[in-house]
Amino acid sequence: MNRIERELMRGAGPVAVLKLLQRGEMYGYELVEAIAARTEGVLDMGQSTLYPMLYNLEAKRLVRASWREGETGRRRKYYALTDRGKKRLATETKQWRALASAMQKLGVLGEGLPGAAQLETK
Amino acid sequence: MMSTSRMMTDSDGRGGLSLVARLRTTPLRDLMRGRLSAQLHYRHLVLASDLPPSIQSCVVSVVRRTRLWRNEKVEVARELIGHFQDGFDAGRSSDELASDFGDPLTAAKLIRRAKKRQRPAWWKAWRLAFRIITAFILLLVITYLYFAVPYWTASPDPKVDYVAQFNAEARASDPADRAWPLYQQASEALPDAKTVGIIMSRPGDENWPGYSALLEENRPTLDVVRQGARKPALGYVAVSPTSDDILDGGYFNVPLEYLSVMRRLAMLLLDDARRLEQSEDTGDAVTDTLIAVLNMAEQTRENEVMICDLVAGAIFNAVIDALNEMLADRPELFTDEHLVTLAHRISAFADGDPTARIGAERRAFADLLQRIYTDDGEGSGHLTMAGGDALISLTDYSGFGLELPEPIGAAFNPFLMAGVADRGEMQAKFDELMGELLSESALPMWRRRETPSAFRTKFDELADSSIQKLRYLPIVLMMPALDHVATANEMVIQRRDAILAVIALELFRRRHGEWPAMLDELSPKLLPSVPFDRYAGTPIQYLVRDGRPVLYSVGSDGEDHGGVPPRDASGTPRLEYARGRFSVSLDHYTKFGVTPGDWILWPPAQMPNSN
Repeated sequence: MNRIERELMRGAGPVAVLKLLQRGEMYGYELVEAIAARTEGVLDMGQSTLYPMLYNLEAKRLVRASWREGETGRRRKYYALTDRGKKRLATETKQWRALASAMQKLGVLGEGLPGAAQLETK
Repeated sequence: MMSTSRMMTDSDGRGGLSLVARLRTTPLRDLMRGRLSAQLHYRHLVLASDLPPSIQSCVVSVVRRTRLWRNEKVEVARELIGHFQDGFDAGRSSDELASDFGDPLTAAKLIRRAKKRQRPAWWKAWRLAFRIITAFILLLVITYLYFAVPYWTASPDPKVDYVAQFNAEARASDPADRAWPLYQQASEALPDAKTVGIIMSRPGDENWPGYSALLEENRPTLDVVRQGARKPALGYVAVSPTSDDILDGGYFNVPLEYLSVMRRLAMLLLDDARRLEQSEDTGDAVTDTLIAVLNMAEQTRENEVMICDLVAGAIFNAVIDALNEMLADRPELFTDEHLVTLAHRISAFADGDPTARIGAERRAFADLLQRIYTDDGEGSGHLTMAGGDALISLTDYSGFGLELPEPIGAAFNPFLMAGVADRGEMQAKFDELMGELLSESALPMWRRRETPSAFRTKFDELADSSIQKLRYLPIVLMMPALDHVATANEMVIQRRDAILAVIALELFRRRHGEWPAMLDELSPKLLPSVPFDRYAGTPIQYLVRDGRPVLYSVGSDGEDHGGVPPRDASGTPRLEYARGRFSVSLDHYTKFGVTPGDWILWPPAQMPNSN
């Protein structure tokens, strides 16, 4: 699938990062690889975009950064979700589900999509 | 790419960092441990990494372009180094990593924006304050230039030559009919004003004999003055100086040095009339001299300028004073024919209206405006720099100087003068005030005193407010005392009416052997109508006391004191008030401890050496 429009990325990118960090702390390159792999390249943002996004999330205190030595012994900057970030993720998730449900009802998303039933109930 | 200059600054010549550079960029904790780690030098960090040169160059470029603080750059550099190292560990190539990274310029911009959001609150507050102050200063500068540029660059374009209008009548007259050359000749021939002024006196004073001899000695010159008085025109042509002053060459500053000459010569001629009154057996020479001085007053009014009219009025009043004295001293000197001739001449002075023409100031104001403002062709315009400077200099003469020391004045004046109304508004306000003034001036004094002066009320509103005073500065400078001129005009009318009544009384006495019981008896044969008391609006006050008539006005307090003049605390008559030379209010009396009284118009009160 082609990369989505920039304007859509503006809203989706930070939510995607917060969602990935929900599983545990990650470093920059790890996040890049995870986003590309799990979205099959749809949310494949330029790496020059990821780090500014992470700094913005850090400025909003939605994520917390810390330098640690990784398995290879190299120092990396790891990012973890804060409590505030968790709350924001919950809010954004609700909004995205409402949006997806509305789009589905409009026929934009179509019927029979995976998880369509969950969208209806949540 | 790393800048060459920066390399040279930091390099030790072998491609590494110099000692100074290491000292500058080593954290304190490392310094205390004796290690020059240069950990705060992001280039050193990048170059010390095992990244390929192309990636190193990319990282340095991005970090440099962020223009962040040193420690922020170091942090970004470390993170990007780690990112690319992770990429290589994942088996990616330099080209793939560089391509996936994106545009370094965009990256630097986004990183800078985001990292600045992480800065502390005090920095954000300082930045906000800096921006506000900068915006405010910029706004000030733009506003200043908005006012200053037109102010500095504009120049007035006077269209009307009011001086030519002033000179028109004189230039139109036949040179042979012009009196001014004779007056100039006489003025130069007479003893200087200081010498004469020292000994000027009145009959009965101790200096009178010497002064009288001086007048006799200069009789030929005084006859030249008499000769001039017989000319039909004054013929004074004003020659304006040319200079950088925008007011020079204009009507506002038209030279009127002839006024002082006319006044001086007229007073000398009147004193000569007094000398003749003392020495002659008939009133022919005295009457001729008095009429000559009246003619001089008439000539002084040749140009329709208010100040000229005021000087003419002063000369006119002086003639009345002299005639009053003579009629009190030696009425028999004058024949009936003399008295009738004088009465007709006095009555006909200035075509029956001896008042100063206040409306003539319109021309002076119009000329002032055309010299200090631009002309947009639609009746308006804005103030020029030269005009603003001229106005500011005029404020010095008025006692509320606006002049600031240079160079503050030059810089601040555009702002200051921005508060002055534009030409159209200024002219409209002037017309409004002048209209009020002329309407009020057309009313007699007793009617004007019934209601507050609309002109004075409106003018004081301008003058009492700093903002309004600045906004209408030319008006405040030019109009402050014009209503006083209107009051002075009433005094001239009163004095004229009184002397005509005095002449009529004398003629009545000669015919009937006694004074009339009432002034009504003079009318209509000897006096067209009984004159008004200009303060009361009733017929002028008249009574006979000690066998002599007393003519008086109730004066400014409006109360009839029975023909008694004001007196001070010691009981001394304050003759200057009695002569009505001042238009005084009750407050004025109280301030000087003077008991209010009436304005005695006849008989005259002798004032010691009042010249």
